[in-house]
Amino acid sequence: MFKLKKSLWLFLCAVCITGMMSCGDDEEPVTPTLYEKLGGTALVADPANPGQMIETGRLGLRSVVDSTIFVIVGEGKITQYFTPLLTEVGAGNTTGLAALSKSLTDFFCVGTGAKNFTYAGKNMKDAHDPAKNPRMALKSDNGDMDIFIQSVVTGAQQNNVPANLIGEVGVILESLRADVVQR
Amino acid sequence: MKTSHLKKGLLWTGVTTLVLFVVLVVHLILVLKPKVYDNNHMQLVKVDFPENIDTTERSLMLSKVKSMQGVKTVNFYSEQNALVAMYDNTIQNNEKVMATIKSVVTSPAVLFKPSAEMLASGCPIKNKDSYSYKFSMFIKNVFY
Repeated sequence: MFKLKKSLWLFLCAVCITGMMSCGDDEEPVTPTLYEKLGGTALVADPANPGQMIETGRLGLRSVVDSTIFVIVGEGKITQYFTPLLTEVGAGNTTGLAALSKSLTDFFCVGTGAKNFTYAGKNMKDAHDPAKNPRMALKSDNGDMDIFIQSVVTGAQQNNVPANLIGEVGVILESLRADVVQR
Repeated sequence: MKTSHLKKGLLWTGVTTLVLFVVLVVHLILVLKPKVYDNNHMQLVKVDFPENIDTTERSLMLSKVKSMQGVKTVNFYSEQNALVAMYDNTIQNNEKVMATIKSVVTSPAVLFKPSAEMLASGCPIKNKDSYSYKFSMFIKNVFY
């Protein structure tokens, strides 16, 4: 029979007891990102591109973005910034709406914690400065920013985004106010 | 001696011009690469109604426009007295949407078209008659 020294047995017992005690420790809960709460990386069929898949989180954000632009154009309160979108382009050509939708969707995806997308547009300060961004008709003020945020809320509600998640998106938008409002 | 200097000068000028031309072509190839977006062909249209339209006509108009192939979203904004629709521009165009609206609504309907001033205050418009535009499109058609 294999005999161990008493001290070695005591050591092995101490290791086992310590190991069993640490097994019960709770790990730090991982808080899901806003992107994950909005659907995350689960792939679904892309209704805009038959045959292609899209992350659920991105699809949700894109729907909100498109609805927001729609509300802005329809309500007409800040259309002075979006008028070129109503220029009809030739059949089959890429529209300004498509470009703006992608840019905003990428921005929201990155801002809400998505890992598989990058935002390649201008920073918010330059993007809203007409001197640095020819697509920006004029500088915006706090009233325009409030209307934009309300339009995003309306767009999100139209897409059945839960109120608490809309609130989280609102916090992200508010954090940009200092850069966006330049008048 | 003078002739050889002249020849050298012409040679260097030619080489420099050629190098700059190649740089220009490469730059155009890179910047004119067609971009692919999620909603490549989504187009917006806005139609204003100077006079109020009755509820029945409005409902019928919205229903008919929504049922057009390629139309994704349509809504009527009462405060603006305007209809806004989003459609796929490979399937529909503004004229067809207007024709559908006019087949239902008796009140005047005006298609919103941004004025040149509105467009000039936004994205810069390229002069399609310029040589630079034509050369750019030539490069684009060759490589894409």
